[in-house]
Amino acid sequence: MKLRLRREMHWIRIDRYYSFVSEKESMTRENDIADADSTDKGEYKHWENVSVIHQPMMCQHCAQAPCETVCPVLATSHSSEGLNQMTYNRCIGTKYCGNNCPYKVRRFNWFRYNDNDKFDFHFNNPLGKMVINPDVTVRTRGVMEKCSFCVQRIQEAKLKVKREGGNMKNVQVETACQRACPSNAIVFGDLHNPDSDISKLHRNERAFSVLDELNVQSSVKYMTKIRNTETI
Amino acid sequence: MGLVDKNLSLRNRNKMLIGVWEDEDALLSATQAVVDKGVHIHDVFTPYPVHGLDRIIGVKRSRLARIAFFCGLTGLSLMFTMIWYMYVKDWPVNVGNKPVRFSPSWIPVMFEGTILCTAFGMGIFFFLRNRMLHGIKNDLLDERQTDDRMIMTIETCEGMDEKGLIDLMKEKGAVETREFHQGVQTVI
Amino acid sequence: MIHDSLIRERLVTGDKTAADVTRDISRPILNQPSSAWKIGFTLSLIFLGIFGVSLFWTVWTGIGVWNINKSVMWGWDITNFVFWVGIGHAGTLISAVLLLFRQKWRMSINRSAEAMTIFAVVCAAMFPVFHMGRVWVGYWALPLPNAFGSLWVNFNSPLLWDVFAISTYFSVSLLFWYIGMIPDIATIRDKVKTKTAKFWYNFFSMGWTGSTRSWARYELVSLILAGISTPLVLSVHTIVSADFATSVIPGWHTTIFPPYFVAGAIFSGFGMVATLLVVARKVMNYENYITIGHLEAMTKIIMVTGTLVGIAYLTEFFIAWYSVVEYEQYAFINRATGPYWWAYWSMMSCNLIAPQVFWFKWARTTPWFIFIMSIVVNVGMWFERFVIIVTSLHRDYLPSSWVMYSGSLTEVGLFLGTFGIFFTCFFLFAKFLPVINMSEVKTILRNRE
Repeated sequence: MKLRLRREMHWIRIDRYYSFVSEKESMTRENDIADADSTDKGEYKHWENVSVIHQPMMCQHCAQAPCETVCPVLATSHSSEGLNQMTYNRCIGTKYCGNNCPYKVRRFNWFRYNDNDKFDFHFNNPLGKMVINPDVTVRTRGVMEKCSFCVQRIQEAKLKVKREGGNMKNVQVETACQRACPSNAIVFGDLHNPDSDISKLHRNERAFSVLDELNVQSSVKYMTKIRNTETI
Repeated sequence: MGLVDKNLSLRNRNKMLIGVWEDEDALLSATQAVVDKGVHIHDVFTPYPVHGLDRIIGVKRSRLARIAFFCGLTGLSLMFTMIWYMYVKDWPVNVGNKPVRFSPSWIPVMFEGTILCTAFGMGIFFFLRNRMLHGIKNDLLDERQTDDRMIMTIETCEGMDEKGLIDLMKEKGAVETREFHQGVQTVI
Repeated sequence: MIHDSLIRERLVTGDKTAADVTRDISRPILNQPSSAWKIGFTLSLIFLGIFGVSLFWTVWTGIGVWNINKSVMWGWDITNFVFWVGIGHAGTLISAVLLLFRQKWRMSINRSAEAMTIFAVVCAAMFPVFHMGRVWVGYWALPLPNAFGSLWVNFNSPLLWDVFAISTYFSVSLLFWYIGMIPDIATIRDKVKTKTAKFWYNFFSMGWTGSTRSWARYELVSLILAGISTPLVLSVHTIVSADFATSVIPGWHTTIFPPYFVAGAIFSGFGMVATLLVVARKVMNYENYITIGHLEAMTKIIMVTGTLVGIAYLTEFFIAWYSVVEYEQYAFINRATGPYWWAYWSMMSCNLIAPQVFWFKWARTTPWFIFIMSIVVNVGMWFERFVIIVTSLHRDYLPSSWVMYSGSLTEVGLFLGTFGIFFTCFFLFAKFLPVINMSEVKTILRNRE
């Protein structure tokens, strides 16, 4: 039901982009597929060599975030660490930030999902609640949410350093998506530190920002995939 | 000079001569004739604004425009101070790396505040000066003075040629002439 | 010195005297309501009920009862908001701008147009308020110190500008309307017989007697209010357009929006005034006050502003092409040929093409035709806002987020329901207050040079 209305709640989604090699040239534009489809009359001869590009898409934590400027109540603002932080309990739910996000990564709580009989999924009893991450606030109805770069883990690391001493530079914070990725495709770290892995990767010539031309200066960079497509 | 225009109250006044007109042009020429005789016309009550009348009977130009201007200035500086205090002084927040200082994005709110203060400041002074309050008892001289009749009032004083003035009013097309003293009107 | 003009047509026909004006215009207030009024009022109350039910359902269950989704987060709600705010622009425009330009034909229509403004702004305000996910904390959008430490508001946000603009516009319009009505309320006060009526009209007339001094101040205040309302009207719709223009979404991020929205607002506002007045003049027998000449003047404005809006549509296309920005170009091609082509072409035909019939004198002077056209204009303007909001959002930068959107029953109910609010207010206004500015009309009974 929610999916049919296009209300998926993922904070990170995997965008798929397809490219085809047709007789003429590579097809990248939207209409190319439709055009090829109409010319090949069901023989699918253009559909060879389909390559798929996966692009995990979550909040890009833009430095000049379009979502931040439009919130009337300062519910989303920039932290000194460069995080684009969403303050759930300040949000009044105008949804303007979601509209103004060029990546469309903000998600809205359309209904009350916690302790709701119509939205059970065994999450409403004490046992079921233990499955829910205790470090993340349960969002109420009518607020916006998005990827927080696992701010709870960053916070935990900071507190640990505070408690036990040491230097944040030596602490490696892992986000949930990073930990879940088996091929280590996701790297997270401190951009303020020029020696960190992430800073080095950001300086790599393969690194690019999505929708760079908007100059939102996103903190997330992707690495172009290098493929050997020429046949010998 | 007080805030409320004292001319608007008809209480505690000397005997008044009242002329009633039903035609705008006749009224205008009558007021002119009365003023030409050197008599001070206390007021003229009309159901709609009769242009030129205020000049003939010597109503001073209202200062509400100047008040409005100062209300506007107050509004503008108030809004500027408010935004500066909230946005720069009290709790600067980094939103989208926007500069925390005066920027054009302040202008809409400052503008709206200026308009609001101008309108309501002027409105308040308008009501005060015009002796207008909710539910105030109005000094009505004729039931039709808000409908189609125009009423000229002259406050009498020592040595005024009352008879002559009444005759002049009648000659200039007054449909009725009356005397008003201590809340009682008598047709003469 | 003072004589009847031989050239100009009379603004008020039927050789009315001041007493006739009072009698004609206070008739609906002094008499029992007519059956037409009763039927209309009942219908409005039914629609008001629809609004109540839809609103209750929305607030009780959550914004999820609307069909807006992860990409199109504004749908019918903001469309309706801009639609009503646009309608709410003609009233103050008629009173203020036409007063500054000394257009005396405004006098017969400004009162009802201003009333329309106020009621339309009330309808409009419903949407930005109730589209909030957590409407019960909506007051946080006001610059108030709060319980969680003084976190203030964001002066960069166009939504915050809206809060200031709409509330200022509403209160200044109300003040303008009320001050303009005081002499007429006094007239009614001196006509009504029952004690209750006398009390209330006396209460609201604020002791008005019609002294020359009061009139002098009244006219000055009206002039200044007109002077500040004119930039206010322009600023309000400019700020509404900034809700879109300051964003980064292709199709929204356009500098032409402020003038284009203002022209559109005047266009739809005059459309609504024409709808109301064509009916009102017939039902209330005000043909001598709201003459064919008035209708003709309004149709001319509708035609001019409609054409302006149409030129803006074409300019947008040109600029999209000229900018060589792919997203921008796609947004506009998608509007005209994408899945929402029907909305785009409804907008184009209703707003740009249809008003061109007003080049013909017959079209400008036939009330029933003007009525139909005024409905067409408002349908077109609703579609315009729908096109701007939905088609820009449903396909923006990343194709993975492209979605379709159509309003749910609750959203339709809310929209229909606002007509209930609007007409309930309007019927009450027509019953209890003079719909034509009597004191001003009395000054133009004779055509003075």
